[in-house]
Amino acid sequence: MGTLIYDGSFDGLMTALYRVFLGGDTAEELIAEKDYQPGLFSTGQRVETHEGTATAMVEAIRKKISPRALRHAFYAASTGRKEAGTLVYRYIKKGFSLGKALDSHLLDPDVAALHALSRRVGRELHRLLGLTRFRLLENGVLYAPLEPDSDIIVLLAPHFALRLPRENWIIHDVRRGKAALYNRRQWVLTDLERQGRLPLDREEEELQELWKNYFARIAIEERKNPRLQAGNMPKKYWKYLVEKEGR
Amino acid sequence: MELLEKIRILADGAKYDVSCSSSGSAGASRGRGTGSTLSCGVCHSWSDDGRCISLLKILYTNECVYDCSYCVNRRTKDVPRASFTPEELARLTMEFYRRNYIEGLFLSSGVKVSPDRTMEEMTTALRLLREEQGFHGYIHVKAIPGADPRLIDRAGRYANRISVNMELPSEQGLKLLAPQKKREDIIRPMHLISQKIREEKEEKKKRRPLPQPFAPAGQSTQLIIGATPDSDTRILKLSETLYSSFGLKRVYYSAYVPVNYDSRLPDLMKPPLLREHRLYQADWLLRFYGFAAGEITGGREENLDPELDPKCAWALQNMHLFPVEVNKADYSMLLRVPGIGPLSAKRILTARKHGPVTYEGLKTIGAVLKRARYFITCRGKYYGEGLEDPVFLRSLLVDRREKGPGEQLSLFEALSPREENLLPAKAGF
Repeated sequence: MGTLIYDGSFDGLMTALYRVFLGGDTAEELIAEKDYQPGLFSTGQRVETHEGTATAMVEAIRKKISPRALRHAFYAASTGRKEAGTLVYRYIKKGFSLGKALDSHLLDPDVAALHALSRRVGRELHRLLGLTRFRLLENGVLYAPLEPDSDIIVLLAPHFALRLPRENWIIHDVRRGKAALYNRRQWVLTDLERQGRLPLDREEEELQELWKNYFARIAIEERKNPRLQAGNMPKKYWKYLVEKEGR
Repeated sequence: MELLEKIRILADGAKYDVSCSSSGSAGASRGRGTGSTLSCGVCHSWSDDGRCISLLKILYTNECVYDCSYCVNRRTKDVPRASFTPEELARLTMEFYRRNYIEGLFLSSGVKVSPDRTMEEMTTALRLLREEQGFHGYIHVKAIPGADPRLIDRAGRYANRISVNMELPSEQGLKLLAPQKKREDIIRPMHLISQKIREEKEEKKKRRPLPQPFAPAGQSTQLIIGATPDSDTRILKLSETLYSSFGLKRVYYSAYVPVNYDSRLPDLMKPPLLREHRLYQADWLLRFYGFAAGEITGGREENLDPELDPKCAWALQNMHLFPVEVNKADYSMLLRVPGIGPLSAKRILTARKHGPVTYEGLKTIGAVLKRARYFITCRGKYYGEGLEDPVFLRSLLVDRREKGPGEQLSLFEALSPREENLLPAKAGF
């Protein structure tokens, strides 16, 4: 059983897939560098990420299977889970034989497993469209720190570029140390380390106070239901919520 | 008065309005302004009562010339009063929006001086937001009953959604609890709005999209549950009519919270949350499952069964239709199976194209087998038990976890004293 080891990026995964499907390598398992543990009887082969090769693979998936399959694969890979690479591999392999109809094979185990991962990312993405909180900094930039389960700030950025086109903003994945920066024209992805206390705009605290008061007042006392609240808004996201910070 | 104090007062007065939906519109400013809308809507937070916060739901003023006995803002109530200025409200909305606290504004109001005057000031705030601030987020505005139709029209052109709260399900209720209001005054603007929306739809078919469409995300309303003796049957019939004749997008149900002491009001200790939940479930059956109100209530003039999901209750009354073979049934019949919703029904049809759907397969598809198993066969095999015995089956289907805090279901309170109190997971806010 062969194992290909990629760098953990989506381009890395696509390069590895290319090697299997079009480059003549054989592998049953695709695994990210950070998750690789050499086995007794098997050794992994490292794949060097190559942008052009990755692009060719992406195009092959788009044309020979479907744009939707590409999206599912991308979402699943964003989870960063150990099994994600292999699941994407099996899914795409099936896709090359089933073509456009791939995603209608809901009961195929490879398709179902990938859909489950993709759904997880879709759910978190939708949640964070709402739960992202910007703070206005002294320099006029809106700054939103996050710690999402999946690597999804590249999926959040286009939404906020459309929504807040006249602002300068930063969406910071604090745990992964990267950020999407937007300058009123376009957004770019960059590395960004954990920040200390950032200087806030002088009205920021007042605005936060207004929001906290609104949040407290809008709840109906007679209907208090902390379990329902936490079920809809998991506590893991409270850390950066202005209205829940420090609770 | 300080802005902080105003927000406290005016949020307090708005919180009994249930609607918070930001769905039904899709668009963006395309670089010329701020904001966008998504057809699915977005929740931004959940308050301590577990209800979703999507829009800044707030009153323009809590002053009011009316004295409706169920209302927190009634004229005779001794509460602090406040009003926004259009500028304050526009600024507050923009500042909350750019921090991504909210998806937009839901502006309601007490009636200050007169319906016209109130509607006019609210519209000024909306105009500031749309035209001067370039706001392209979601706006839901309440039409003030009795306001000039031209004012309602203007407000509706700034808004994505417009609504008039019916509040009391029957004429008698209105007479008793809000004698200053006439049913006519409420129905008339609802009718006007639905006509306008319909006309513009026709118009749109003929021509290009209108530059400033009237309430593109449609109209909604709200009914208070439990302040009057109206039965669920009556309420669901009313909702059915509102959906079919008025083309409403949503009817919201609001468990009556005893905010005032008044001899004309029922002496409730707690809001009837479970009843509200069952009504929402039934409402879903009306809108997405192809049920008629008469089917859900079985033609009886009473309330829904508190212990059963209304679809389970319906199925138990119609056992002759079951079990259904999941590999043969059509979409509308699959939808009638407890535990199968629109999404899983569609997925069953999709999966069927490539081979038979097994019992295990239904799990992958996401059907709730806990309920569905009693009503289906997979390739001819039945996986439940109790189909021949509806009484036994009922006991298996009774919803032990769905009850609101403080709702007394004494029977199984006694049977399972440690059962956890869980509010409906999806109450449809």
